[in-house]
Amino acid sequence: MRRNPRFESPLIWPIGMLCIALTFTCFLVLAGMQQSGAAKNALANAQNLLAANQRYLEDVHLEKAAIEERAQMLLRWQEQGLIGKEHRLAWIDALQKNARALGMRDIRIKFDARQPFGKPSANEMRWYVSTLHLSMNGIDEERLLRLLNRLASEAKAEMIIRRCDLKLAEKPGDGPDEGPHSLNAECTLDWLTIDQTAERA
Amino acid sequence: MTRRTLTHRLFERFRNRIGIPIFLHVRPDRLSACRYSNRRITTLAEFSATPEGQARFADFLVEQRAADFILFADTDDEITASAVIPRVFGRDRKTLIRRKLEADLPEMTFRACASLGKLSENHQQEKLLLWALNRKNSLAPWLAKLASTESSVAGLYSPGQLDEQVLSAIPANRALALLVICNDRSIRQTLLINGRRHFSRAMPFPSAGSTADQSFLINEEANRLLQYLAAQGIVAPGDTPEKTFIAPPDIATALSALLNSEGDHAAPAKALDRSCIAAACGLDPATPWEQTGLALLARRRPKQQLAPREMLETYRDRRLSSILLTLSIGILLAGCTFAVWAWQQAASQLEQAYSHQRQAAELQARYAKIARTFPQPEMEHQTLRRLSEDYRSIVSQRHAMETLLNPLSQALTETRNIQLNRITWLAADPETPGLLIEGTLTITAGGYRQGDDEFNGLVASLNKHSGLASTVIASPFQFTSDQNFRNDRDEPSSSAFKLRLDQRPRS
Repeated sequence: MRRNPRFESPLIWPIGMLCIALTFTCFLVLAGMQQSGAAKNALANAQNLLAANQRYLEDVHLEKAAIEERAQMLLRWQEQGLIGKEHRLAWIDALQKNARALGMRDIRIKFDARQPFGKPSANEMRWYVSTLHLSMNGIDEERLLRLLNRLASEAKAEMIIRRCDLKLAEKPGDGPDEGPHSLNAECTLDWLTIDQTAERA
Repeated sequence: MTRRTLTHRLFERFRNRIGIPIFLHVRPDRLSACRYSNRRITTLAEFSATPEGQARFADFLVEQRAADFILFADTDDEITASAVIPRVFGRDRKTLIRRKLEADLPEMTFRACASLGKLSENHQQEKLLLWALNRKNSLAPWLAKLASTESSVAGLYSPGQLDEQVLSAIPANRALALLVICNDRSIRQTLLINGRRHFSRAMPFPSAGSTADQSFLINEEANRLLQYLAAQGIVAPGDTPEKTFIAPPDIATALSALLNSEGDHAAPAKALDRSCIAAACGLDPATPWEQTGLALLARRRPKQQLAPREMLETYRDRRLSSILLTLSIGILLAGCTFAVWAWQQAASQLEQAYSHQRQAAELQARYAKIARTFPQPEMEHQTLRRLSEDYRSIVSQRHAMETLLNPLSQALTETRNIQLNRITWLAADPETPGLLIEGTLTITAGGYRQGDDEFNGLVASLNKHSGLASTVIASPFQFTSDQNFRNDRDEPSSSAFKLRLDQRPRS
């Protein structure tokens, strides 16, 4: 059998060896680099994990305090009746009762529809707001403040005064509680409650 | 095939690739195979120029397959010629030189050339020294054996090529020198200009007569050569080369006596004993004269050699092969070194990572232990956190109203003659919520001064609170010259004012 003269050159084997050496070296270098890179990543991840765990452990007392505070807050909300459906009738009752107690008779109220409050969230529970437009005639500022304070403390909701416009009445009333300097007030109050999101509800 | 046999074969194969230099000293009657080490020549074998000797030489070549053979043709049959070519470079120069060699030294198998630099009178031309071995038949049987055994021939050199090394080692005029080297059977005369060989020829050693006669003949031949060189224009007219004779001790002594008797009118000359040349050339002083040329060749091989390209193919292949193998081994070693280093680094980093992970796990366990003591509210932590964050924002808004209304209410309790007409809660800016207060100041019998004091007291009382800032937008009094500001007033009057009460921004 005749052999191909190209494969009889004395340089065939050295060139072949060089190719094999280059291939094997490339493999070794790439494998080494890959191994090194993987180890570097593993070390970085472990360092991050350790640092995070150290941070968590350092802040564990703060976290515990925060959770305790939040748990107490939740308890208070539950006691206040903030969680669940709104109690509009109870709010109106409280408003009328306190107004009567303070001698404020000429009161008009109007509730807007309940709206979600704050940033939208996919969480189960969120805050809702019910806006109340309150008009009062023949009052004074002291009684107004007292009424608002009582409402804030007694209502089964968190109450925020958004706007309040107190104006001196042009014609003082004739009633016994309407003094010579009675006021007319237009206030906007937000009643905030916590409830499940509409989708889940 | 066992592992040992395979390893042995691989080792032999590699060893064969490396190439060990063996010098073949070819003389008319015999060939010596020598090795050079520690400035000394060691003869490995000697072969006579007979069929038996050549057969033994073939066997020797087969035994020494690993060697690279360097031939030293000490046959004194070298001829030289000068040539001038235009100064060109690259392939043109090679072509010109090849044509010059074919023209000036025709039918010579072993020939070479060396540049002697630009011509002094014409810088566009280059002078060449051409030389060749005249009697190729003396080499032919040995070369045939080398070719038949596919031995690796690294080069073929003549003794004349080594005269430059000899001249540089001895005390002589390097600018212009005639070197006359007396061997046992021949005399070689070489003209060197600035240390470069310009002419060389060999002649038989004068055998007849006494030492004095031989010395006289040697000197006469040198003088005749000088005349010939001057006639040929190789030596410029008026220049006289210094004659340096290197001869056996008795001839050297006789030559010295002869040169001294010639007196000052003769050309400068000196005679040296050839036994001291080896030491002067940096070789082992015990090197015999016969091997001095070979030792000089072994120590520093000249750039040019006489063998044609096709004779050197095996050597070139072997050199290239050994270079490639060395390169392969180097690359493999570098790769292995890098891989080992990378893996060591990786192992160290992984060990650190595992240590960190262990520490992290311990910390996590401690955290989990502490976390078991946390209160468990009836709501998810994330939801409760978000609700509480929202609640803080709600509370901050709710308190804003109270913090303004309560101080205002307190401040009003200290006043008698101030009545508020309108309070507007400005909630448009949640960061600095404020109240716009419109009111009336009743000026009674106390007069303007008392009213002014009362209004200023209200403002001061509001400003007393650290979180509040009151700004008078419209004062109750517009003091003008046409008004009566007396204190005694019969009837009370009232004056409107406007105030803005803000929460101071948090610093």
